[in-house]
Amino acid sequence: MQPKVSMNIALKGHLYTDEFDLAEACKKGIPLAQNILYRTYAPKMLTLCFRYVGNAEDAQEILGDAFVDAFRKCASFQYLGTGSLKAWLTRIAVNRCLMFLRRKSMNFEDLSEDYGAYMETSATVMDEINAKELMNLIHELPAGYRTVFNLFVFEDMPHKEIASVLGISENTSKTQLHKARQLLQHKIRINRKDIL
Amino acid sequence: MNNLPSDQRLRALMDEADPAMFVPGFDLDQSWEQTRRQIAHPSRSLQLLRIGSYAAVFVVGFLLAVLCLPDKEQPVSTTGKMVKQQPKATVADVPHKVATVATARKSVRPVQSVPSPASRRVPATSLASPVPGPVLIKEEAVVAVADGPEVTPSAPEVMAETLPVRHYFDLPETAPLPVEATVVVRKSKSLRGWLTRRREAPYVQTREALPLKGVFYALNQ
Repeated sequence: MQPKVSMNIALKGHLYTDEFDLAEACKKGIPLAQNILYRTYAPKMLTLCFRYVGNAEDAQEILGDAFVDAFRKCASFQYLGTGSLKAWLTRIAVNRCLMFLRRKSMNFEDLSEDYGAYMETSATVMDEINAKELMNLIHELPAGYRTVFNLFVFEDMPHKEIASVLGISENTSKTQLHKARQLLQHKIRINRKDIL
Repeated sequence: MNNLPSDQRLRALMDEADPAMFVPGFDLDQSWEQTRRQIAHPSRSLQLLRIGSYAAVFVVGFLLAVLCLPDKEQPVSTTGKMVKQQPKATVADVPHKVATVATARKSVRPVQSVPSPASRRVPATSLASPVPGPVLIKEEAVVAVADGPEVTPSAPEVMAETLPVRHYFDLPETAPLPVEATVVVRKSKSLRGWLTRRREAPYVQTREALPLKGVFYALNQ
């Protein structure tokens, strides 16, 4: 039976506070639970979609499609502990983004330009950057670089899986990531110089 | 946070970011409303896709059923191969089938007519009756050619389903029974076929009229 609780109370966390309860309620198709799930995770997912596609309109459309997918495939979700619901939703959203990028025929070009060696612990450069600046710089990357960079850095996906998901070789994935990092650092340095 | 490696620092930066920073006009309520509507009413393309998939499954299933189900009429040999068999001749189309097979394949033997158990059980002479009137002439009983009164069929009803072909005739009241008569059957295809099976070849040559001579017995009792 659908709980008769006002939306405000529910959204303040008096209902379905637990990920497991929320997922179970969504499996039963309870609209209130679906609403809470959407409101809880949609903002983060929107950022994710935007990071991949670099366009606000496309990102919103992909977000909607991803949640429709999630609500339809709710029965297949298995609770494996705290954070598993977010991880599951993230995976659905990423898949949607990759589908979108495939339609746009993303290519994994290799820019011949050399931006110097990438330094693993270049925290000094990264420390001063803010989220918006980082997002803008990521969007300036070519689609192939950007996708591999997103999957490796933000989704914590190993090269083997990236290669499988994108239909490329592991070496291509590694090269693309390396080049993406080089280019990103190069752009950050240029930005710093401009600011200073 | 400053001491974190670069990738973790980037991840944390994105996690803390406010989506409004990237998508300024984003309205959570409106966005939810659109998604909710999409869940409640699947898009037209999705509905068409669903109907199309059902139709495709039906068509594939139907084709599989047609192509894969074994034909019950075709017996299967011990090696598993289908044995080609001549279609069984029904009573109605025996003449036609026999003629066709005989011209096309000389090795095929004509079907032999098998007398019904009833006719074998009862001797023809015992069925003789002095009662004149409509007589059912059983052509199976043609045993000898003899002269007799010529009778013309008044109701040449060919009862194809119950071969041997039977015809009803009006016999003269004075006719002795059993009747020895010459019967002319006009354009009786079934009878021609029946005669063919009995290897009465000369009768088959004429298509206009088939003189049938023999001894007939009244079976109307």
